[in-house]
Amino acid sequence: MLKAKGLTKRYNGTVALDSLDLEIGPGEVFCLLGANGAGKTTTINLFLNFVEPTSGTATINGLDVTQHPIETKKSVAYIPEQVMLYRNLTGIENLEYFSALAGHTYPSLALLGFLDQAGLDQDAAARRMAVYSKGMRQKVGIAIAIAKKAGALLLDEPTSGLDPKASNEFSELLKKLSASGVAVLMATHDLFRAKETGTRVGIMKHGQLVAAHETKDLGHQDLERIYLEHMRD
Amino acid sequence: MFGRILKHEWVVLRRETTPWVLTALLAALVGYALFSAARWVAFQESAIDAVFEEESGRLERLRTELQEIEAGSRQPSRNADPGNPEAAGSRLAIRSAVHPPSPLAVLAVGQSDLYPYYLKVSTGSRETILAATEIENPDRLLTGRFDLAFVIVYLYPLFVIALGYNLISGERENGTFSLVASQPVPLRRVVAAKVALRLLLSLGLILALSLTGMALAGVEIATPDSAVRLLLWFAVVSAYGLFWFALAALVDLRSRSSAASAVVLSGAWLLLTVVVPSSVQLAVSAYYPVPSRVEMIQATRRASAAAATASSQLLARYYEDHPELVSDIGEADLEDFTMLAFARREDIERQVRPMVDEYESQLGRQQTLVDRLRFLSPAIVTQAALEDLVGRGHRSHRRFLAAVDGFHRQWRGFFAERTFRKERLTADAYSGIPRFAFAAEPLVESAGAVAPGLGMLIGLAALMGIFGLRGAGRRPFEQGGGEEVG
Repeated sequence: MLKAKGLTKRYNGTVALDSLDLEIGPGEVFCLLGANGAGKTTTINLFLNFVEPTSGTATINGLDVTQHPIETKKSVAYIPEQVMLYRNLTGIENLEYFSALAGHTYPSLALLGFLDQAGLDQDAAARRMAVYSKGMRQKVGIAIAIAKKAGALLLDEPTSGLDPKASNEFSELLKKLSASGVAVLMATHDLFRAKETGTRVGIMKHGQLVAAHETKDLGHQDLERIYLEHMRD
Repeated sequence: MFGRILKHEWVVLRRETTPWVLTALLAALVGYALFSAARWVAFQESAIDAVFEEESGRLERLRTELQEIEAGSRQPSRNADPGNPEAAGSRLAIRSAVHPPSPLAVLAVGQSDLYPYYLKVSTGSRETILAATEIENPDRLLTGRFDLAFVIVYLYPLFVIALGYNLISGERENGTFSLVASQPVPLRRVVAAKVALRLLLSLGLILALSLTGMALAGVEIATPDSAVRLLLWFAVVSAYGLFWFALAALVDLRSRSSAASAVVLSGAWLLLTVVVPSSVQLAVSAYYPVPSRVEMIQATRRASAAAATASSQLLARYYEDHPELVSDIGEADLEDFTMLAFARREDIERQVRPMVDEYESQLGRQQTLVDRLRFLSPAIVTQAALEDLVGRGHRSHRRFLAAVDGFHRQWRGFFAERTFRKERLTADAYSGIPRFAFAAEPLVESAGAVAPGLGMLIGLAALMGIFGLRGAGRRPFEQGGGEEVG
């Protein structure tokens, strides 16, 4: 589903991502761990065709994202670290607009259903974004991703700033999505959430994927130990 | 999809305060501009009515007086005999040549407050005729009148900049851009829809306000000519708006922030609407300096003094130039003051002619250079086009002056012939005194004059649009784009 082959990105000679080889199949949740600047966001940006790879390829459903930017974006949903939406529109209006951009037209009831799935109550859906908390905005972002009905999901530190309850709800939702066959690539600093939600974790350092493990083979303390060992080098 | 983005943009704009404030401001400016221009047009029309009323009353009185003289019931006045062709042509029966405001004159005052819109034509010299103008408040002449063309050329771009400086940079700064860019829709389509909505709204506003203002001012679009001119007028305004929106989109798409975009666009506005037009004016004056008017007046006075001392030779020379006017007159007639007056005027004009020719040819060269250099600034092109379409520009004024020249020659010929043939004017002859009729520039010629500028505006907008939208098609975060790269 999501595949990177020798994917490299340099900015003016500085390596942001170095020969990444990665394959994430349907139903898998791959969590990318690493310090700031390790290359996690660059990987996601390359899959979204936000930046051009220096070398290598990123493909979604077998299509190169640089050659088929529109087609590949139909198959992938994205939730950034900070979901920022149109302040003067309500939650449901934002959802309706982004769904329309994705090529979907839903009746109000269906839109409310997506927001409900994301954990946002109906009263909040009718209020303008200007009064939303970060957690509420994040939920609308999740609803947008669900409504897109994409086969792949790219998440850039989606639980950053969320309270534990909201983070837990988000993990549960992610599990449901992966159970339905969605391939997920999530960049995160949250080792606990990565262990809880991910099927695999990868550790990035200086643009390289230095380790990858099945989460079922790891305990919480194992993951923390492995992570810190890599960070120490 | 395009329509859906338009609808979204409309809802977003509608719920913001700034567009409403800008709209109210633009409405007030357009309203005041039309009101101000309508007052000026009404003043001109009332002045022209008064001129015609005075003229017809005066000519009617002269005709009556002449009938009484012919009937023997009245003695002709020595100095104001309406039957004397020289007196009639130089003072008593003079007519006005009028440059009337066109049906669409409320759309642009142009230079009509600087240029004379009626001239009293007599057998006097051309310079005397052109120098006779109404007394006007010099402050008002300096500042010019506030009209719709001014609002469109100078202030509408600021409205466009305020609406368009953050088309995409605003989305970047608000954080909505990454979600939009992750959707399967070309970014250029989003930008095009944003520009289209703002362009349609601003043009719709100007169109609606202008038509309302024209209706309130009592303007009637009674002829196909006026209707086509109005359509062309709006085509020029649309092309000008398109130019500024294309520039705003191009700059915004290449700016790192909306603040940078605003600064660049404000600079472009200053450059294109103020600096370039002023520089063109300065360059034209420096390149083709016009001879001093004071020198011309002094030359005229010197020629007058010289002519006075050579009266008899002048009349002989006049006859050499106009043999058709030679009648079987005797030597005594050489002393005839009226004939001498004609000869003297013509001699003065002959002497001053080289300087006048130089003055006019320099003005002509200046205008030719301005016509070429206008393409340096869309503001100059647009102003000239808007004024030309409603008959308020240099072209229309030059056409009026050319018509006045022709009428002046006709007028002088009419009275000179009768003076030299010693024919008295009769009451019936008064109805044959030449009348001035001004024919406005034909629509085809106006459209031909406007077409290059219109083409330039559309061409530039298209180029910037292609260039800008091609840029929008590039990867949105390639240069950092305000997003963290981790």
